[in-house]
Amino acid sequence: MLIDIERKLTEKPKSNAAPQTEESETINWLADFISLNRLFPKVSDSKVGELLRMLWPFAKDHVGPALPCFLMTGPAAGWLMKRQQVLCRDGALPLLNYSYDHPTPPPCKVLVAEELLPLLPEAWRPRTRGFRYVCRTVFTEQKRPKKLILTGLVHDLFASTATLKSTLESLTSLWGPQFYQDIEILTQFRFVPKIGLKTMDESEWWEFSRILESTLHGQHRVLKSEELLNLSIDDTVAYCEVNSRLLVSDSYLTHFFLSKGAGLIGDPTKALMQDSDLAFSHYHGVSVTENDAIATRPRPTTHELTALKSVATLVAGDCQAPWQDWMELWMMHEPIIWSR
Amino acid sequence: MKILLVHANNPSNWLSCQMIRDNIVKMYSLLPNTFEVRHAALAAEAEATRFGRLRHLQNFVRICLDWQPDKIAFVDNLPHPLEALTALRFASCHLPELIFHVYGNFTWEAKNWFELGELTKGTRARFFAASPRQKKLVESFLLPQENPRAPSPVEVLPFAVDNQRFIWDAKLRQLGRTQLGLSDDTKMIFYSGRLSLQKGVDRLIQLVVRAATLSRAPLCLVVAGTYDDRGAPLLGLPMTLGCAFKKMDLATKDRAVGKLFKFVGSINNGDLSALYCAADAVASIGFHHDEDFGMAIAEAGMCGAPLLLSNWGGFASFNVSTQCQLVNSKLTPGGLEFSNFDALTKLVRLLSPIFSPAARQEQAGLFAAKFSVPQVAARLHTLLSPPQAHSQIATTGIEPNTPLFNGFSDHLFQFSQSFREDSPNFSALIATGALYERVYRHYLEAVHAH
Repeated sequence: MLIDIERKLTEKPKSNAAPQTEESETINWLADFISLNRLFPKVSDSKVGELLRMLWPFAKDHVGPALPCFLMTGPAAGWLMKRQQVLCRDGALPLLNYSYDHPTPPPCKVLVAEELLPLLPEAWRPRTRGFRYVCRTVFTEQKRPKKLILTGLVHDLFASTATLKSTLESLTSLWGPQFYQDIEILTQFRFVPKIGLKTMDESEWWEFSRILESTLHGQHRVLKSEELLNLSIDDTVAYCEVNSRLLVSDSYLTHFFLSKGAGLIGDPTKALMQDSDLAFSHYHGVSVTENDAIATRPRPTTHELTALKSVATLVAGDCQAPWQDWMELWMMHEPIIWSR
Repeated sequence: MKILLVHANNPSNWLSCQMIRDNIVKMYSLLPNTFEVRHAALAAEAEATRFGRLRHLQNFVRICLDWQPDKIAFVDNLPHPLEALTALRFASCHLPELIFHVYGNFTWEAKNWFELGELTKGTRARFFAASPRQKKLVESFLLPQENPRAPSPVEVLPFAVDNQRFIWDAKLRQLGRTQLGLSDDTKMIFYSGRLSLQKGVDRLIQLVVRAATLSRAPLCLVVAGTYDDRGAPLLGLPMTLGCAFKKMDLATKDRAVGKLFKFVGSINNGDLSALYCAADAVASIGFHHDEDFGMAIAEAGMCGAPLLLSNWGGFASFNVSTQCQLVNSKLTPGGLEFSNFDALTKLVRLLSPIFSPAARQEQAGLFAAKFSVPQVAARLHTLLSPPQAHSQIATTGIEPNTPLFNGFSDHLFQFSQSFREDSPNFSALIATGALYERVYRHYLEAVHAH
């Protein structure tokens, strides 16, 4: 049999599909690096570049089947045209801003976080789909997590005290009042004193810490940022990001932990991964919402806009305002970061 | 003889390093009663607060001052011993004989090793490299010794494998294959390890696809491990999160390929030994910078698995029988070159024979004789015993004690400056003439098979 196989190996290929004979391969890591690593649009606007650096590691680049990118970086139409679909990582504010500047949608399919879909103009709808995270690790009453990782950037535009409160309360309501006593908790919050023109007083940081301490009864371990990315992760670890999704709707850390087998917790959109979903790793991916589902989705409700309204300096007045009015209102109040 | 074992207070995040460290500690515990062993912990770097780190250092220094060990052995990959030894120097503590168990991150930690060389010049220091090629690589950075007849401070001490967990077992084979749903006639090729740029798993997939067209038996490539996006940091090519998965996803997208491929994720040690037993060949054809040994391969060998390996780094140590095939690889002006033809021929050769439990048992026995904890512990005992015990020393005239360490050459410092995560070194990708070639040619040099 061996002779038979070796004879086959040394035969000349009859077609392109047949196995090749004498050949060596030069290992070209640089080519891999370029082809896989440099798929992102260049950030030409220094303000946006600075903002993304400030949002580290949440805004760090990551790669997936639907090309994840920030529309706020202003990718050229030509760049977008070459893509079948992109996954928009922008939060509500930059997305609103981009769609205001670009009333016609990008020339490719755009996946947007489901909860942000209602904020998009009508003209975008045919080219837009919603997405939500799906993972293989789903926690239930029978399978409770053993470890909880809580992260966020302490700033009104990312993790405000109100967002923290509501996140912690939602976890208690989902898992019971004893939840924080029964689980090992690791936290990593970074205070960002200024994003764009929006500055934060240090007292906000103390208030944030106070809420964290009192809710968790001081039982959590504070991680260093480099430690956060070096933790041993498995399917007993739950990840929860305190993120209002005003700036970043698709965070690097969410993908980082889910790709290592952790599960989401406190996220009402959590769902078990199916074969039809877009896989970002063996353990997680995104589920794409069909267009019909978007069409039937109502315009922003009071509840949905309340999240945005929490940035009181930004949005004031009637949250029931229709899209254009709301946009004007927002613009009138001097967008904090994208002032022009 | 008093030996102080120094390790991190927490286990490493690298699974293989965890096992290596545990097995090294186990080896020291197997030494005869004439060796008194104590432990000291240093704070693992990423987790330590400044206070925590200092507290551990203080404790380490206190043990050294009070207990006066004859030897200090650093058995973990991290934290690097430099800080602890600096603390000892500051405490004006006499440095006893130092033993460094060198891991694959030697080149990555080049700057620290260079500084350690400066700090410990003139002391008695020994480096235990895990493979003959790693020994050559470390030796290439040493300053020449005054006495040319003095023995090298670098010795080969393979990383030991747990011989209780990793054994050949026909029942385990059956169990593993049943769990994977493999038919009796299916030939299983197994890869266990990180799925990263340098590990070449995508190349392995292509290889198995081609082998499938030649093999009469159906083939199945089973992959266990975690995705790793570190890329090639030594060359300044860090990858973005998701790249490793995307690369694999692209490689297996084709339906025909997908049929041959099973990914089983991260596996615990108990299940791993079942998969090694279940496999008809275990393959690893990467060119990782840190491949000083290959712990997963040693474990597979202990389970009697036939091996297909790139002829790179520590993999050459596993060339113990015809059941281990090394694929021709070389450094050319274009870079590292791997022979796909040779790999295909050798894979088909490994898969061709009818499965034989006796052959598996024999392969497992050969590996156990070289890499099991008791065997490596015996070698450690020999290395640690006073050299006067070796009768040949008197006749060869070799220095009776551990030679004085002269430090590392500037070559190591130059290397540490050239290869960093934040400075892409593109010249290294065109290997000839570059520093990369001068250092890593040792990972391709011929060494005597065990």
